Amino acid sequence: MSYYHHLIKSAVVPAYGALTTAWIAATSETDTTIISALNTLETDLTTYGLISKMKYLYPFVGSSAAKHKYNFMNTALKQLTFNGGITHSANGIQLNGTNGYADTGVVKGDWASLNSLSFGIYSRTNIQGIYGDMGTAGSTDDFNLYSYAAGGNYYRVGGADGSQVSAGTNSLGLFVGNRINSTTVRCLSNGTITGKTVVQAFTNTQSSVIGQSLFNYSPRQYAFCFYADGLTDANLNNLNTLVQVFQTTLSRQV
Amino acid sequence: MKLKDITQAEWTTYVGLLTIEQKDLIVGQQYTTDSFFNPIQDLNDNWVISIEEMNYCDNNDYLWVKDLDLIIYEPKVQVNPF
Repeated sequence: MSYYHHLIKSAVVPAYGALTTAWIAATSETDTTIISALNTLETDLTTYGLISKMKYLYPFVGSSAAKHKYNFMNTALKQLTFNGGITHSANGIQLNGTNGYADTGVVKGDWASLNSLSFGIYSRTNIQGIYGDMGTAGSTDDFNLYSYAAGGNYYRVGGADGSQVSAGTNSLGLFVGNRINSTTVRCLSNGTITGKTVVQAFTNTQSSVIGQSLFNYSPRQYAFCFYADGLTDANLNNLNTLVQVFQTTLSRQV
Repeated sequence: MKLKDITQAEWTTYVGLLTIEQKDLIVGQQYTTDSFFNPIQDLNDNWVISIEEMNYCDNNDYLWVKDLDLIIYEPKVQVNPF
């Protein structure tokens, strides 16, 4: 390649954010739609002041376990381990409802404050039932998210007392369990925020998993998952917006 | 009944039946890149794996799972955490 060709090529190579650049390096991703979506996600997280709150984020892009395992915030940390029956595609991870789940390795010590934490997931499957979207594999305490279970959406962020139930009519979109201080839980159910006052401490010590809780395996398809510090109501609304933009760019929004 | 006898629409209806020895062989092993076997017990305490694990397995050490007998999956009773 001539010197001038090199200059021209350098001039048209788009500049990506640091996280997107690291993602490309880790996954060897070449799909420009995926890369553009990730870069916009990174920009939006920064614009909305969420980048410093986000600890682990799994965008489930790339259509394979080898790419879906990566944490966008730091590809070297908390890579997912997939267990049992899972089908990977451009739409994310489809769990089989029998024995499929992803282990994150995320435990309570990964947050700076146990009174300020959140976790959430974007579901593309509408089905009612006692299916663990996120939580701990074998412990009843403290850390569960069940969208559209019998009676509504169930979130537990700190003991039985930390349970938050909101009305639910489907299991589509972004669901977030969120504790913002020692006494307040504020949860998001596909655009609607509900809350309550709690008194129990968050005590969980088990690793968090995706698609299972208490051996209740999920048959849903997931297209985004995260763990973050506690989020304000404005943070929750902005996160819901940017995740929907991300999914729309990838033509997999619900 | 074997894997070749069912359609993809029936994947969630059936599971592959394991002996205890077979279960011990595959626990913690990869059936394909970055994906691990997860044998579970059904309602009757049979050890089973999913059709996905059988169908997607490309680990030469465990290709024998593709020839497991299939049984209808009867899950254990769900635990309601709330």
